[in-house]
Amino acid sequence: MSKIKFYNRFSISQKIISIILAVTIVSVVSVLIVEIFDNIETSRNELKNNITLDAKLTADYLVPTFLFDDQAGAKEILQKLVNIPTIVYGAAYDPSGSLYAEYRSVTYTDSIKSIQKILKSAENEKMILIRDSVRSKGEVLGAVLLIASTDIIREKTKQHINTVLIILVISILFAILLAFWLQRIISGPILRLAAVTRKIQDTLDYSVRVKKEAHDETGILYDGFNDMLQSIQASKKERDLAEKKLQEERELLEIRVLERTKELNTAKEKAEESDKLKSSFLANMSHEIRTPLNAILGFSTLIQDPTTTPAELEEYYRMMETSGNDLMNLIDDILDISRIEANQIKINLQDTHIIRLAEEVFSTFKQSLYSENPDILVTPVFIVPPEKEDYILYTDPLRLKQILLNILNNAIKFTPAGSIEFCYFPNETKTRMVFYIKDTGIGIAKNQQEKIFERFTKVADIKTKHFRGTGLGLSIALKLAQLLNGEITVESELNVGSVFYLSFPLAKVLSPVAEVEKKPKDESLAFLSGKIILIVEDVEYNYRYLEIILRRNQDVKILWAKNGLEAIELCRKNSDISIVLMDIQLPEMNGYDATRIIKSENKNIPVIAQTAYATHSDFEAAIDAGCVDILVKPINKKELLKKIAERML
Amino acid sequence: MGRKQYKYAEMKMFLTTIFLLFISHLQAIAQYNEDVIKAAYIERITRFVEWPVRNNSSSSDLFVIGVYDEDDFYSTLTDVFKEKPIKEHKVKIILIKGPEEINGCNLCYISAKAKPMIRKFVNLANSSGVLLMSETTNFSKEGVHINFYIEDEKLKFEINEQSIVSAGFKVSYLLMQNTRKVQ
Repeated sequence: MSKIKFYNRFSISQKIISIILAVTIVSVVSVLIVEIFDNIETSRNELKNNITLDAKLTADYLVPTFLFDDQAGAKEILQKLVNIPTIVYGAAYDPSGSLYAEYRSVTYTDSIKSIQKILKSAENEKMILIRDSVRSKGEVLGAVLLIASTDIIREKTKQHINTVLIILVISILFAILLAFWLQRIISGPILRLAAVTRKIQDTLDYSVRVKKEAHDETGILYDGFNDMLQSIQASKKERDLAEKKLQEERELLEIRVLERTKELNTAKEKAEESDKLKSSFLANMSHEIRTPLNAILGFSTLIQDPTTTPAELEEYYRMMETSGNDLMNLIDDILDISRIEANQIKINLQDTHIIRLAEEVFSTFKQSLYSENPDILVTPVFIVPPEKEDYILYTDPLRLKQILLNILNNAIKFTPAGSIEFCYFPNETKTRMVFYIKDTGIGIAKNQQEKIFERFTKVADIKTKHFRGTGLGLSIALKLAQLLNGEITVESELNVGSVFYLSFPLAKVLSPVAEVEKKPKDESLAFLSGKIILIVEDVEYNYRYLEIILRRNQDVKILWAKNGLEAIELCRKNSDISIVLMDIQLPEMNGYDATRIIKSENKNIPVIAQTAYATHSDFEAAIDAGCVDILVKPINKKELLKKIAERML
Repeated sequence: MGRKQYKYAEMKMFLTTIFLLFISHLQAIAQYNEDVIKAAYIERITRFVEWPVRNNSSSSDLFVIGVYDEDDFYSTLTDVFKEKPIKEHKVKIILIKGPEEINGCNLCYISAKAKPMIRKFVNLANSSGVLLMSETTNFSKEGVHINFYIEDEKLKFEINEQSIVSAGFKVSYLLMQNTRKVQ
């Protein structure tokens, strides 16, 4: 740590005052010393001049005394020197140098007698010795010597020094006053600058500016200081902005962190809930899968029992079919929710007549209701609008049916007794079609109403525990409704019942005259008579299942190809094949390639793909290969016959 | 009286004569020296005196000193001022026989014999601007401007201040300080 120099411990004011005082004192003292010495010299010269003049006058006065040899007169003249106190000795000498007359002051008369001693003393005491000749008409008559004491100079010098000291003291006092007054001129601006600096330091307000009052160095300093402040202010502004931005970012980040934490917590809760749900789901799945499987496998065993009566067999078959359908529905639900979440579900929008669709839905609903429990105490109610108008939605009819049936099946599940109403009607502006399903079931608590649409969710109530299901039905319904631009809302009261409202945009309203042409329902296998059907299937059981269904008509010809190449060969050999049921995953040549070749050789042969792959891309690949339709394994008998009837040549 | 006595007497007479002659000669020498000093004093006095402007004065370059009835002093003055000027003028020494001849002089030295005519000398000197000098007791009181006297065996002079001033002369203060003044 460097030492602070002594003079730097003082303030600027003190330094300026000190400098002014020092300069003033040195200047004044120097001047006064010079003046004193000058005064001494002047006094000495003045005295010398006076004595010289006195000597000249004395010499002049002595002229007659020398001219007329008047020694007494000379002495008398010299005696008059007594009137000049500074002259302590006067003498007149004749031309030969002999003393002619002399004068001694009282002091010198008493103390010194010898002229040599007088001269020596005069030299020692630095007295003034003036010699002059006594002349008349150019003739040297003699000489005069005057010796003057310099005591008067000393006295005068003492007095002068006293005066000078007084002047010096006055000058110093005046200099102090002047210094105090003048130092403000220099220290004032600096002190003001320092005050502003302190203020800025205290307040951190860089908008403050020092007011320039002069165009000297302090003015330049002020300008520089103001420029510096401006730069700092700009920098501070930028820094503040940056800090503000940073703070905002920080806050935003904190908010994001909080949100993310919240999201993570929610996600965690969801995950936990999901885990819980999944666990529940898995338990359910296990239950739901094992239950029909148990029936199927159990009854399959019983069928093989030779003691089983035909009536029992029929009962067993019926129960096995029911269990199989249940299993199938379960798998369909799982696949649907998977497709929806993977955005792979295909929506086939088309004009859909509501009357026909509603009738089909209600019919299916009734079958489901009674197939579950023929003795059920629930009354199905179908309410149609009084107007005879038909309404057309531009929607996917299959998916709309699925939505409605999901909700209706849900109502069946939770309504042990009472009624289930199914109704549809247009809204007042006839812009939307509203369906509602009202049941008198167990109802849903308020806090559970939003959750029922979440996947794998089943209202955890003791009363519902005995209800079967995956908990996917309403979730699938809601998501499909959203895909069809629809909305689902629910109103429910615990132990009273629930009402589900479904609303879809209405495309148009048809007048009552425009009766919808109903397609005749023909479920017989007569349409297969005389037809040739090629089944391409490498798994024998699957082939047998299809063959058994189709063999109900004795007039149909069934061809079997176990791979794609065989299928091509059979198509070449049998150009009159009515339809091909093409498995996709085949040995040697897959179904897609085989279809392409068959279609390239005979484009009129309809090929229906049958596959266990149920993704959207699989469907697209099959269509791209030339298939006219797709049957998803396990293949439903009705759907098989329906699609063959639709597509067969 | 014997021869020896005669010779002694002669010798005595001779020696007396010689002694007298010697004394006489000494006296003459002393008188001459005194006259020379006086002549010198006259010249030195003129250094301190300014003459009045005379209307009838000739523009002569000579400084004329008239001597009345003082032949020896005339001779001395003539010797002294043969080469020495007064007030840068060549000096001419003349003998005058009476007050009437004073008019052409600048300075006139009168002997004691001028006593009967002293008033006339004074009046003419005053009116003619002639500095009148003498070495006679009481002549100063008669109006002679400057009068020499002997005191303590030294030659001194006195000035009749009233007379010299009234005659129109201006006498230096320095001279006045060193002289005896006579009213």
